Amino acid sequence: MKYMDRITGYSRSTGFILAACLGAACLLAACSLPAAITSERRALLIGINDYIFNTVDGFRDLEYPRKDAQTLGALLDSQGWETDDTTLIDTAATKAKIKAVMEDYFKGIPSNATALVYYSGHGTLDESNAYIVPSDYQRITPDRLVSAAELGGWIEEYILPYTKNVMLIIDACNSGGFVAESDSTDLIDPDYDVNLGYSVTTAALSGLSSFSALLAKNMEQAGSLDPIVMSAAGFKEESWESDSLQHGVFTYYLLKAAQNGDANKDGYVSATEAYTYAAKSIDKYWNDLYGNSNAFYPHITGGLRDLVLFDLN
Amino acid sequence: MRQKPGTLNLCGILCLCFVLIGQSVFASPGKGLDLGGGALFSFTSLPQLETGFQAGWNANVGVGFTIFPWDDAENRASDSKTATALSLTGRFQLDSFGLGASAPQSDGNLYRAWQGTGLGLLLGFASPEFIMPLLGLPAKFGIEAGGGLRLTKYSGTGLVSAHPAVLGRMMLDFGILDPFALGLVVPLEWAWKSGGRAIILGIGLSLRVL
Repeated sequence: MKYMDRITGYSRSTGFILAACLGAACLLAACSLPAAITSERRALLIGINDYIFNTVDGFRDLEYPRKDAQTLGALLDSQGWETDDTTLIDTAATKAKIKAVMEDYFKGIPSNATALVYYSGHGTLDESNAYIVPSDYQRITPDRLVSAAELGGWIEEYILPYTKNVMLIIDACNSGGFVAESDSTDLIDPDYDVNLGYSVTTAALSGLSSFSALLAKNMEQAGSLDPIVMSAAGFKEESWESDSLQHGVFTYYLLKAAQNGDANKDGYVSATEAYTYAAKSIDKYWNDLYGNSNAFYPHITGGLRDLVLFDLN
Repeated sequence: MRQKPGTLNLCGILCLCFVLIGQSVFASPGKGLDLGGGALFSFTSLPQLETGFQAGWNANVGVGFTIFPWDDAENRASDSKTATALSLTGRFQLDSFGLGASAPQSDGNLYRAWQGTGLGLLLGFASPEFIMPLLGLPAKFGIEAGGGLRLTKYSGTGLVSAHPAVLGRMMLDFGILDPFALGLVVPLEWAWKSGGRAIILGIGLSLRVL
């Protein structure tokens, strides 16, 4: 009899626990439904194939940045973004013009809108700074380069007063220099080594070794909504374009992320999901094939906040 | 998915150690070595954004100990096996957890998925043993609070960060088969992360060796 009572007790306790779990599942389902994105989204796309001074006194021309910018522009346009993928193309994308268009294009954008600036073209660096290379750069006019600090200043002056929802995507060599430190530490080496790779175990061990510094950084944060910056390559790396892919390699996989990058299947591809898809694809398909000397790995800035990049609904 | 025989053997040995160590080393009223896991729900917010909801999981291993009364005999009535006194208990735990991204808000903002690991130390009370109404099983209720440190990584990125958290835990243990207790656990956590906060509530099960 006692045995039977016990069995009954087990059944009841199991039922009790299952009911609690079911309640939790219902709560989960009720609270995790995504909202439709109703706010304005505006993208400025810069792609430079044609460098005015070419190899004579500048950088050689490229094959695919124009196509990168215009393909991404068309994709975003089809998903409800307002896009400008024609103004800052090739020789039109001089430093002065980039600055002027940024000032004008985002003026008055609503505070709940999302702003995206995309650049595909040459990038370069000196000892401590990374730069993007406008079409009118000459070696005798190094002030026509746009440094990370300068571009950050334009974003701060021309976009952030209107909206805090800002993304910057740069497909260029050395673009990791545009990815600023935040409360998180980026454990991906600015000069990525394919042989060492990257894993969660590495992250855990590295994080433990700098735990107190990370904790101090976290406590200094005021929760400001910094722009989300995504770079094709590390500060010390070149990023590549590919004749077989007919795009910049990073942009190719970023575009593919719109089809395959929705990791949680919620109908949206966030900047982080797109980054993850592109980074892992580059590591798998490019770095493995072309080896360490041509390897590169994308970077992204860090914080709690993320933004939707592709809306698949 | 095929498991290597070595993995199964290792699991078996660990389970055996878990039972033997838990039973012999922590033989006091609020005692126990336990393994648990369950679902987590985080209400995450940044100062300028709406609160987001993130769902996830956690798994933990904990060591419970009784601060007062230490001796099990002091806590039992002379003519019954039922404990009569409230116990002051403590717990040291190692957590592993993951939270998925929140759903996007109407302005396209959402909260990133993150995963991590952490340590926590909690103090609290455990009720005297009682017979659970309806179920007819011996049970104990406990509540604990404390603090912890977490090392986290944003999923899919190489970004790691660390943050402190206030931890809480309510549990209801059912003695199912001496020396095991099956527990229903409600973990609570208030985390200060990246200038924002995450209030995390959970529900889970634990298997405790009493």
